[in-house]
Amino acid sequence: MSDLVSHKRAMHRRGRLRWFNANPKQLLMRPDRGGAIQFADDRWRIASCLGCHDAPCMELTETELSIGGPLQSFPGDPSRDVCPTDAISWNEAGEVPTIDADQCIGCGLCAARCPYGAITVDADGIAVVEGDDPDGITHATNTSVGPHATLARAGTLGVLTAPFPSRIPKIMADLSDTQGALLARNMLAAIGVTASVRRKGDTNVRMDGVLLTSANQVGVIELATGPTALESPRALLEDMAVLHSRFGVHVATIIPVSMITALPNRRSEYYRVIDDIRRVLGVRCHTVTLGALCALTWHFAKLNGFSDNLFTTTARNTDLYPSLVRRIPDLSTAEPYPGAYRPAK
Amino acid sequence: MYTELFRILGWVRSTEDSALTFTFTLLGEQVVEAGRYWRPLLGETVLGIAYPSHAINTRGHQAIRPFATILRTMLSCNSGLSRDEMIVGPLSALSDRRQADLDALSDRIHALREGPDAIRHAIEEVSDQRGVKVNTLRNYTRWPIAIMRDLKWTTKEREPYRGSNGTFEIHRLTPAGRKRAESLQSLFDLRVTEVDRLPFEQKRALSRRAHFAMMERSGFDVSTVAGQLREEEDAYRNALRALEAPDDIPPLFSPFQSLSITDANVIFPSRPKSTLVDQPEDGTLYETAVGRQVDHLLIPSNLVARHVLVEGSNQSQLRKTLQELRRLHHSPTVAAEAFTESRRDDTQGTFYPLVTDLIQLLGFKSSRSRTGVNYQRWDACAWAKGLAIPIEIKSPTEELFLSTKAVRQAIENKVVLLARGEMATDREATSLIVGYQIPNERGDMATLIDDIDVAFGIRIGVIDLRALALLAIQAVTESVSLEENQFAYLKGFLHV
Repeated sequence: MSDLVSHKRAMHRRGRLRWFNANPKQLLMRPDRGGAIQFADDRWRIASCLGCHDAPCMELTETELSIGGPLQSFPGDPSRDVCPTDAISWNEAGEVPTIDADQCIGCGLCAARCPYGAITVDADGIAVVEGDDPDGITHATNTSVGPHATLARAGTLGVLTAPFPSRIPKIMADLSDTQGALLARNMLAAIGVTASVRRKGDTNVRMDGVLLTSANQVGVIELATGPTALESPRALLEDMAVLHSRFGVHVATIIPVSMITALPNRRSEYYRVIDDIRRVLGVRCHTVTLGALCALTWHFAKLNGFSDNLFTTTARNTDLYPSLVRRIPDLSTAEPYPGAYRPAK
Repeated sequence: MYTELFRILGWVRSTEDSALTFTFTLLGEQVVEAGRYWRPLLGETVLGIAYPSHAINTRGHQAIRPFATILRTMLSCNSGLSRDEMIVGPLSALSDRRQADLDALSDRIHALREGPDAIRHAIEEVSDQRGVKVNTLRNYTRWPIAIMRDLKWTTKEREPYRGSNGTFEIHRLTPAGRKRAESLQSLFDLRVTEVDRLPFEQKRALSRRAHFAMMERSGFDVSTVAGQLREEEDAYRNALRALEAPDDIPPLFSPFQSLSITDANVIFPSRPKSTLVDQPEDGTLYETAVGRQVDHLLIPSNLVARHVLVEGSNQSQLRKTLQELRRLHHSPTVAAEAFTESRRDDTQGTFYPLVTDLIQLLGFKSSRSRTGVNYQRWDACAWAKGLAIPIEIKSPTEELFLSTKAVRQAIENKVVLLARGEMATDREATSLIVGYQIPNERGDMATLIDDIDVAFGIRIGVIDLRALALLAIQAVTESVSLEENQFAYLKGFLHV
């Protein structure tokens, strides 16, 4: 007989703990007011937690983390945590997720991943889980039921003047390197880009991360959350060289992506170096700010791939807004913080 | 290092056949089984660390359970300890077995909080006694401090000195940490020295009960082993009686962190035997050849006769210095080493012009980039075969040993030079790095230089000050210098 014993939480969490009373039609996310679900009778009711056993609000699936192909051996951070600050966990009874308000940074990743709209970000920038089912839309069920069909989702997670989007530079400065990297990785996952980020202290892997788009593009990531964006393009070249020679990915197919907090000043050498790289090596470096990534995440937009000029800059054109509006047609031109879409003046 | 930590935590241990072959323990498998609920079990296993132990070899004669002692001492020291207090207090204690030992620790800590001098003297004393540098002692605390932070047992705060102004950083118990510390009172602390005295049947029963109690406290369902535990009940009770332990308080004892490998294997027999997987000696890691030879990038210098006539006042002075050094030393190599040593503290302001002066003494035109000219990304430039060669310079006060950072900058230098077309160059000409010293362990730099050449066709050459000085000494005393073609197209580390 085996002495290996099972964890109680893992044993009791199968299927869903609750189930809808009627078939849901669609989900609407309303800033500050929470999610609402429309049922077959066309009436809208407040969304509530179903207690999913696989807890998408807490954990990425292995599939979501699996880069596959030549990058399968990339030694990335194996953490499957959705929350970069470990602010979400099951309540004592193991029935509903609970948020540690002291740890929550309001990034909305848990909310964006809840398939039934039960998590929202409140006006104070804290994630809130609706577990009380105020409109009585669910009933307890046995633990073997599988998920409902994915609900079509409309609306936005919040306005981009909310505490998290507007304070990204400060929040990033306060996070540890590991937390910042997980935040970036999970935001990419939220927009449909699989990414793996380097484990802290792993100096053998030159790049901060690698990515795979749904269009099967392989990329390298340099994450520059401080005032070091200028070094990012040169680091991307190094990353590409490593990916080429050690992982066998052809240089011409690699998508280099700088993930930065804010775009540097318009006169910064950053843009000229990117132009130089393109002119000399034919390599097109892409730039995604965390503010832009947040806009995509909060609007539930997907990024299928990096087409030629999507999220690229030149010394003459430093504006990321045109790229964003291709994915979010009704996006306001107002930035969540200076430097999020265009260089701060 | 990770293996050592996992061994201390009881998650892996050496096999009976080989100390350097490791296998998961049952406890390690339970950590994997815990999945995202790993935190309570990690807490249990750090509290399970106790010295002495058959599971790990330790120097000294400490009889302590370090994490438990830190937590208990925190409870009586205003809910926290500073890093240095941990070192001079719980981590230096010989024993924590009696209440008097713990009281003595907290009295000592309280006394050390008078002012900053007291704790400084105390830690210097520990350093002297153990023959370990203070910084090393402090490094030892990184792991426990990180663990307690990650377990959310402690948080950093400031604590005022009692007898003087100012504050110091303290790792203060959180409510969860306090609860965990207080919970130690409801466990009966057993050490392997006591358990070893028991007849084997009792040792077995006690170890199994203690292990599954750990699992239960960590949220595991132990109902599947309840029947076995009932069968061992009598032996367990007898063990408690023999140890004069209360029978209504669960034991704090982690078998996989305490028992010998042989005992653990017999007491927990259901562990499947691990099988060794043959590892190819010449394997690949992340598709990189392991132990790839880097010596092919050590490039012997080709010297040719050259008499350098044109030079400015700086080079003239430098020429005299080098000639004088050569006269004083029996070989150019020793003279170059003496010169290199004399520039050990150079800053950018002195080192950068030195590099261009030395290159000029070799017979190559060289100049620094003007300060504030951002578009010239390189620190200096040299010319050979009519081609501009960008130079990335690292002074010894910036970087004593060159690193991959300079390689990264050298790529950019070349790209910018090629793109902006301000000076004649071509793709094949080198992008040069000059620094104080090439590291002995230069595998990272070498691999990267190769990678960049393969990916982009950019050559990166590296010269350290000793090599440059030696070449310059030979140039000014023997009228020989580096062959121009080699300088222009150098890839790898110039070896002289």
